[in-house]
Amino acid sequence: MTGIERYAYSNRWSRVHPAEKIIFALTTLVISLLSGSFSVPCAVLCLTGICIVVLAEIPLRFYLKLLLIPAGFLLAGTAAVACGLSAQPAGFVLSVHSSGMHFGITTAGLTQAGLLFMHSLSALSCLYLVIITTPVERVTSALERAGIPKILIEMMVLMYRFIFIIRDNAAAIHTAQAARLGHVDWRTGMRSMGTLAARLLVRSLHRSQAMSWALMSRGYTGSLSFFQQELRHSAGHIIFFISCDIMLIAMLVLQ
Amino acid sequence: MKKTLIRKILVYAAATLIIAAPPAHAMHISEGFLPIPWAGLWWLIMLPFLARGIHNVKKQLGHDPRLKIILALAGAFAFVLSALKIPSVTGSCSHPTGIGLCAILFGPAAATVIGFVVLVFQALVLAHGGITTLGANTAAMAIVGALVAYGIFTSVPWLGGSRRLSVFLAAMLGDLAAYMTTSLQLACAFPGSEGGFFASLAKFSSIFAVTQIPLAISEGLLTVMVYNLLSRYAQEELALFSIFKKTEGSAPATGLKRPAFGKNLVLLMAVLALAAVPVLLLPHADFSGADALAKKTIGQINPGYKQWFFSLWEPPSGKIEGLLFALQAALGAGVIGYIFGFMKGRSKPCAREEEDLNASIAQGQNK
Repeated sequence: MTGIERYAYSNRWSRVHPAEKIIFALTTLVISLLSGSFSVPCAVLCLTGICIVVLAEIPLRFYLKLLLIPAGFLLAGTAAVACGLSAQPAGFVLSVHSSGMHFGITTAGLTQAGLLFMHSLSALSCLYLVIITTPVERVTSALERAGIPKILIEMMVLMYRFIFIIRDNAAAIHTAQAARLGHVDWRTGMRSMGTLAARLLVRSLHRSQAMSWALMSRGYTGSLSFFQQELRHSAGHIIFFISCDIMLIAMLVLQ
Repeated sequence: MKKTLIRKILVYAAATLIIAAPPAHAMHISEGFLPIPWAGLWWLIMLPFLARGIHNVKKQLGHDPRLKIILALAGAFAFVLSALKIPSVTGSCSHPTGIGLCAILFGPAAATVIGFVVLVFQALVLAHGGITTLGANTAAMAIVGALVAYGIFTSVPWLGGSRRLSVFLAAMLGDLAAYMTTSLQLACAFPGSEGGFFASLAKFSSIFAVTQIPLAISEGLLTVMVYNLLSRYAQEELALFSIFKKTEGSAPATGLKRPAFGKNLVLLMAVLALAAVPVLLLPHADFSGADALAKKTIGQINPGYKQWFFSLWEPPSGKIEGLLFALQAALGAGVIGYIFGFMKGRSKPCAREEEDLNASIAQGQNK
């Protein structure tokens, strides 16, 4: 289990109804993305941060670490937005001049990049509000109620179960290869990864066939049903979510 | 003297790549990076393709519930594969996308469905990508990436290349196509103030090229190795996987000669070229609508002309107007895509397919 899954089962909000959380996160996300100023995304970031760290009791360190995951993409992407190419030297904060063209960071680009960065962070925080506090099975069952095609949901449920088996298998093969110096340099490493991937596919296929025979012998007709604990809607949470969103919408309209 | 300078530059470049680069991931646009209109537009563009993929897969699943387990397994395999680190050609590590291998093994329709579910899990479990940007990421990786990979995989042998070359090119160019599509999506959403869309496209694609090109090459090499091993030691399993490919038409499971697909690819390229030529040749042209031209001409003919009718409703701003236009275009594209998908799905011979399916399942079991 990765960190996200461990906390998804053990945090204080894991028993809040998933539909409430998903709807709240999505509306907040849309409000944040619709705004053209810094204030609303900052408010959203603070609000969701408080929900995650204070109310759901996820350690702050873990939450911050998660916010860093897309840092590579965000930095490269915002850098590209901040840069500009122009024939005039006006409007640059920092620029290089060569053969009649100026290339560098523009003032307008910098503002846009800053806004984009804040928007992304606040949207990420909204997404994390759902995924760190909700086990995957509850998310899929909420999606099923929302009318997502059944085959997609079934594939997701089955796939989620396979992921851990295949991951353990891959780790075992990798350890065995590493113990035999299979990853000492680029050439052997590449060859080992090739064998690993091919072997993994064949092994998991055999495993899945064994599983499907086991299921067929117990009357499998194409759908698996799992025991799902029914969660109740709680008025307190709904009121909290709605008042938060009303506050944010007021901020969005008044700015 | 010159040689040492070049060597110095190479050493510096290599050192920065090794030290600065964390394991490179496939380029997923992270949550909240795209403005709402663009995120929505890519969702709308992606949905008809996904619906068609689901439709095709469902038809095959109707024959045998066990296939669902195989498909889920393929998804889980692609997910785990994308979490593995492969040694990159630059010396650092990178994560493969697996979409090339999926498209080669299962065909583009199933690969689209698998790619979509893998992207959902990457967003939910690993926090890579996001929900608003899922449409754009699926369009880039699971649709464009899968189609390009499969198109090249089937058309290279037809043009006389070896199987090995076709697998390498399919995986590599599939990755590159996905990365170029992502750059295009970003450039559409954030055109430069000067130079517009193309300057922005150049900017994004060059910044991400540092990680994405080595990734594409290593993934190509890895996929060749996997495909060789599978075709040497796991023929029966390969036959079982290719069941999903048959939904694509009446072509044989080996997929060696698909001239129709190659022709379609050429036609598609021609359409794209036709659309791109005026934009490229006339970078400063004023692409205005017929309405504006008519207004100008009337002004020239009769300068004292007075407008006697006004629009009932004016959009509040240029942005909203653009959004409405985009929405209209997306709806139209969706409807056309749906009609084509529906017609294609209906015009398929079924009896022969069923026979093939049973044969390949039996083959898989006897093993």
